[in-house]
Amino acid sequence: MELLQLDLFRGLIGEAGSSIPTYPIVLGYSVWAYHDNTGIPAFEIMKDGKKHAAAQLFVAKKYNLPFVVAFTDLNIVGEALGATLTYMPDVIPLQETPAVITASDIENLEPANPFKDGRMPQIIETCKIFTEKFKSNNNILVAGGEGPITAAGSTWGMENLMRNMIKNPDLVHKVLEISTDSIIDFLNAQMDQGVNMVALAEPSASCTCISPQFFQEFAVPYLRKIVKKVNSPAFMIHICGETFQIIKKLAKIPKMMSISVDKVNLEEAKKELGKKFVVLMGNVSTETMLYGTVHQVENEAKKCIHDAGEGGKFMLSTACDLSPKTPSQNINALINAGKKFGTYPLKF
Amino acid sequence: MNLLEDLSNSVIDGDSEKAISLANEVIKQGLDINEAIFKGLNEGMRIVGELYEKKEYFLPEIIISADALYDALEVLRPHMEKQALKHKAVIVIGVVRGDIHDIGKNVTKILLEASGYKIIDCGRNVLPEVFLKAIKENNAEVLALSTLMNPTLESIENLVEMLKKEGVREKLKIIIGGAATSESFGKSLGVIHCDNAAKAVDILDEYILGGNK
Repeated sequence: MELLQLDLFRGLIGEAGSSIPTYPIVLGYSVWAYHDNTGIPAFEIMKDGKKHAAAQLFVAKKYNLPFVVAFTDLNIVGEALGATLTYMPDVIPLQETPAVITASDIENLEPANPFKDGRMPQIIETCKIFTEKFKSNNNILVAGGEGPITAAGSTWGMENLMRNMIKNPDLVHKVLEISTDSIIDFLNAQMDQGVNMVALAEPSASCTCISPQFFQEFAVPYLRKIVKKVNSPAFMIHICGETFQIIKKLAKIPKMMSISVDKVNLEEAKKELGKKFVVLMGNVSTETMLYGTVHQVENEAKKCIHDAGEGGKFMLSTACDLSPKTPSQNINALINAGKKFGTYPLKF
Repeated sequence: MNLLEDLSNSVIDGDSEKAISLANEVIKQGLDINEAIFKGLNEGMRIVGELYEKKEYFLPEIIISADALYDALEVLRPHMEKQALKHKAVIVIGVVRGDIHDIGKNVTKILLEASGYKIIDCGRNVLPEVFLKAIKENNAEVLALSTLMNPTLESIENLVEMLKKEGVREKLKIIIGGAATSESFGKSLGVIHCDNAAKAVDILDEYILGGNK
């Protein structure tokens, strides 16, 4: 695929006549939407690569989205390493128990086999179906997985992981190593199916959870390892919560092409990123998307465009994954807002 | 050095070993246990809450401070007199049905408990009936609900609706928090929204002790 030929890319460089690309995050939302449309229980969708691909493609096609992403929740690596989940009838599963608890459990932990463990094989099959059914010059097919801290938290339990960042950092690094190696193998297996790039979700690494210093110590080295070892030309990352203090660190990671933000002032974030070509994505509130009117969605979208649209390097998006039951008219309002209010040159 | 201040500092530093040793010292010297808890341990946790609010502390620091506090309490508890501590109010707390992210809830619980509230912890992924039973059995004045995830906002709505039907809503103060919640969502349900665990104590003190309706 030639990125430069895409309308999306013209929008990202702010070319006159092009518009700000728009992509609401629809990972877990797609599972609910497909369940709602077909009656197929969410646990069946999650555990069957064909149904899972159908769910993601159902929403991507319905809203004519520029991306389709192969993963849905934040316990895929943890589950593959042995964490137990409770599967729900209508939404994404919940973690019940972590994969490891004691130091000796950690000693015995080995990286997951992406072709065998947990739902990794189903996600890989999802990628294969994406390339068979949806590959075109206008769609970007995206492999996905958790970031290292999020995966390690699912593997060891978030409190254990965070407690030991202070008490026993060596043990934390061990869990991070194994989680990261699992992520790398998992993402490479997805990329081998012919998808275009990688998205990472790393909410547990936000400044709402850990300090920027701990982000540097426990997240950055493993994110760098992932971008180095995974065969993808570009990466995007979503981190929920507060991230202003770490977006510069994220932008310094090679191939990190896009940063999707939640509780961040977009204007300040855009300034913080400076001249480097890193696409900022964000951040219409998912609550407005769920409960607001079309007018309110448009107003928030306009503010995002006003704050971060100038000069390109911006994609209008939601602050997080859409909630189940988010009204279609609000999703359409957001998607149309890129063209309606964000055609270059911007007029404010 | 003042033993109470040392206890407080051991919590702030998240130093369990020191907190345990100081708690033993309190017993050895025959000092007032309640004072050691409130002016030592809980005061330390209050400062930890402030540091969290100022973004000087984050979740790892809070977790090890809480470890130190609970480790010292384990030492002190068997020596506490029968006359139970006088609590500000009883709070039933939990993460609503459909969500298991409980770090935020646990942090809030620690800070509220340390400030003198009695906490009934229903855990995570809690069914509405479990909350209802805990509220009735403990004559709770406050229900504190948390959710990190968007899909489970609906669980809060449904729970509040059920509490109305069961006739317990009116006497109950409900406070919600967690990344998925917001002030406008709280207003729409007629409940108190709190965007930061450290603020929960001040907000509830205002409502419970200050008579804020």
